[in-house]
Amino acid sequence: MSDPALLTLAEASQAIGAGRLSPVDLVEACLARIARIDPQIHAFVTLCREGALKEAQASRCRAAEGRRLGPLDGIPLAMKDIVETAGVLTTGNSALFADRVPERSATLWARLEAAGAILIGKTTTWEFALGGTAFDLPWPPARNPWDLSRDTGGSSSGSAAAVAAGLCAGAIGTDTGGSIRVPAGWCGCAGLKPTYGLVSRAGIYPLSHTLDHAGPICWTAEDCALVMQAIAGPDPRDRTSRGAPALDFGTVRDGVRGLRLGRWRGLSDTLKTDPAVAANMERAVAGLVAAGATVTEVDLPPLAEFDGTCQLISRVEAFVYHRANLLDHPDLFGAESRARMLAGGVVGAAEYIEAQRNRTWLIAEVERVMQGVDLLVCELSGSTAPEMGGATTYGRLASRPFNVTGAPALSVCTGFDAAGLPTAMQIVGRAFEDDLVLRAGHVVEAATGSRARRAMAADPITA
Amino acid sequence: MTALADLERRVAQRMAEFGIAPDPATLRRIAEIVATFPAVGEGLRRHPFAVEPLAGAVADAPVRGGR
Repeated sequence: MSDPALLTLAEASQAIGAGRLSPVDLVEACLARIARIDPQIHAFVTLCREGALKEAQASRCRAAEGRRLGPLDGIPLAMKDIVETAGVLTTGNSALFADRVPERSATLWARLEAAGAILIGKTTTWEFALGGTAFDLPWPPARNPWDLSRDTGGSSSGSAAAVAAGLCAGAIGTDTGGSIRVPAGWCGCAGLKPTYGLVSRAGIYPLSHTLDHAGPICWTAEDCALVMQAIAGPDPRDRTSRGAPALDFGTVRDGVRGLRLGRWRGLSDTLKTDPAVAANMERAVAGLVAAGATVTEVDLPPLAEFDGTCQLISRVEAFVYHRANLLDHPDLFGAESRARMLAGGVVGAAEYIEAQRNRTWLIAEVERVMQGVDLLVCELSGSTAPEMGGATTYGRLASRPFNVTGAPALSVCTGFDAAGLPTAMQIVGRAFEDDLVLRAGHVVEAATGSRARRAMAADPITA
Repeated sequence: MTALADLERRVAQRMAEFGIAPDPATLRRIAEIVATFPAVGEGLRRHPFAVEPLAGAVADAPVRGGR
């Protein structure tokens, strides 16, 4: 094996379990890549070098004694820097929390830690997951490891950049309007926004409490399944978490034979989808059909309905959470996140309630469609990653509908355009059928061969 | 007065109620963002009285069903 840091999470786990790879060697390989590559892509806010090596040694002992805690034991993971990690700086990439070290971990990280995962560092985020790619924050924005002149998307920008560059085996992101799926897609990773309520958000800085989700960004859908197996499930600390039937993410390789796929009619035109993005999605859908799925076109409400509803709700809820700090310390926020949050303070109660009522109609419409199909396949973005700093707000995205509905949605890589930038699509399921979504993602990765290429633009050895 | 200028004025009034006075660039940006918010959603236009009210607290999971 040339560089263990470039193994998938599943491959690394198998190698550790078989005694072919030491967790210490794996962590050291990741740290070496971080030292070489991260100065260019700024994926990390905080690096946990000593703690990671110490935990890796403990994991190595467990493996040697046949006491492995599970498939994540010895696996180096990164946490978005709004996920609280006890004793480790958690900044939200905000001057407001620049020195904040929480005493207690988010439930999600506590579960991963209990499964033997190793915290290798905290990753760059838009300020409090909201403010867009900005240059007036305490830490610089992450850059896309496929092309350093390109944006990563956000807000889980560092998580996606780190995974794409092989700096860790997987990462956690959060998603309020696309913040797992868009950076995962533009960085060529797999990113799952789980069903609302399936993964606890306790200990994660809130942005919009009815739209926030937390989930994995990994190199493959199978890797996401391994992370989900550890983090899914109800949590007394998060009253919105659900006691759904336990999902078996071990079915990720079971294929899609017999599944009915619905394709969102007209969405590609609405997004003015680039030819390469569209062509790669066609190949991916053909791969799903070749694997035994059937496809029909389905009609959903206009994308603008979902976008407007999502934006209004998220801004108001963000304002409510940050209100005291915004009014007392406005100078401690970046300009764009301050404006986005204050905009939520202008909205009246009636407008917010109207948006929530409109949301119930949107949810009902999607549920009606999903009664006739098992999965929805649709575009994630009309384009590949845009130029860094080229736009304050991204257009041409189809991520927000599934924050509005809470349905599980996976961003999966479908290939590359002529410039070598990754393209992506979304696979969406019914509530609490996240396992099915990942199964389809695994088929797409196999059919398109997209996992054969890694992001090397930031690696001085290979670039 | 243009629509955006009118919106800026409303934004400034609201900020004053909060006791803050953002600079002109921030006021303009806030107004631009507010201008993107929908007036009334399609669901309410189609079903002004039939769309179900919020079921319980908005903090409840928005999803239903599943297996």
